[in-house]
Amino acid sequence: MRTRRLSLIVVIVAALALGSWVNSLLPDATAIADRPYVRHGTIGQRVSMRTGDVTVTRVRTAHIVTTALQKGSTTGVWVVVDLTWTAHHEPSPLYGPYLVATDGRTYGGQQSVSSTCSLVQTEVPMRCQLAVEVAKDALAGAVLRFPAQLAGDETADDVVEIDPRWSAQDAASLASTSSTIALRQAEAAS
Amino acid sequence: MPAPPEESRPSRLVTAWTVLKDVLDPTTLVVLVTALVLLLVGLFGGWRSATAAASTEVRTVRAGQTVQAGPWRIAARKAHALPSLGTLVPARPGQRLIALSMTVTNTSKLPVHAALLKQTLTPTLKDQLDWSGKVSKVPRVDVYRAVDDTAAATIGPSMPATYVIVWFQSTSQPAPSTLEVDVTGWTYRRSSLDGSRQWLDPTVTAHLSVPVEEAR
Repeated sequence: MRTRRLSLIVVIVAALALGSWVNSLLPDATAIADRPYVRHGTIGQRVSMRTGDVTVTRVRTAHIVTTALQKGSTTGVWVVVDLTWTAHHEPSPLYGPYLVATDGRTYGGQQSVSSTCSLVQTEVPMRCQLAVEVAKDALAGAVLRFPAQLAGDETADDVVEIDPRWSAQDAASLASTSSTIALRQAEAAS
Repeated sequence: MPAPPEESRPSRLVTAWTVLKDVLDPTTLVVLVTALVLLLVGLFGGWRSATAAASTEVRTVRAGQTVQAGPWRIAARKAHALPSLGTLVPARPGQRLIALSMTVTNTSKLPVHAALLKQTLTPTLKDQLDWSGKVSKVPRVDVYRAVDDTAAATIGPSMPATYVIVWFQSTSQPAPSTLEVDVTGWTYRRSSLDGSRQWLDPTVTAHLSVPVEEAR
């Protein structure tokens, strides 16, 4: 009788330890729940998400970007994205672009030279030019992301992901630019 | 009626054991010890390995030395006391600028706004001024990029560059001969309030001491 009770205790403790170990191997449930819904596309392709449609028409690099009021230089490189943004259902700003390098480094957010695509009325396509400052070694294989909302780095919401398909050679060429790009203000697309 | 004689301590223990020994057989003891172990394991964080305790030592760093504070790797270069930063920050009566130039690198993988850099460096300066030029406990702090003289916004990862942080001090105080700055470190974790990931848990990790050169 005593041996059976001792065996039972050992089995219970072993089962608890095994369950805890198996649980530690499983993916974090919160991380899975927070995963974004990624809508993939390439340059020239119209990609839809919850808040609207994005069409990236051109991606270039520059050493200097200017607006009517500002002039921004960089120790890295400016990535300048030409795009058309059409908001659906309600007036919505376009967040991004965020450039995500192959190693996970992410660039974007408020830049020292401001260019926005923010005042967009419902179903009125707007042409915008947006600039983001990135490190030169982040370009090869990088993708551009446009989240449906700004809520940190983990959002269980739509994200448009545009792959410019930059090879290492493309990246080297893009990084060595010495050009200046004057950023246009957003305008309604005809 | 006389009071019963007081029992000695060894005798009390013997009495207690006599009472308990009928219920405390070896099996019950094993169950109790196991329950106690499980309770203690739970209280101290479960089966996860304990994270190494962060060092609480606050070290002093000087110009040219590097300090890591949250996402930032900071190497202070020079400090100046000056009336203006050209057209970027024009001179104002009663106002002195204390400017610290430094090389800053965002060592995290995410873009971090320069607002966190402002919160990372806290100088020991008397009579700091706010945006209206009044002495305030919520003083004005500016950060500028040396590469293009623009106000710093988001700082991307792995892009070391020179930044100038500027504090504003009343000229009613003498300019400091040495700039003393507390450097605050941060931890990137999920907020317990709204679940978002942020740089939280400010902790002073270093003390920066840089001689101030006065310019006229």
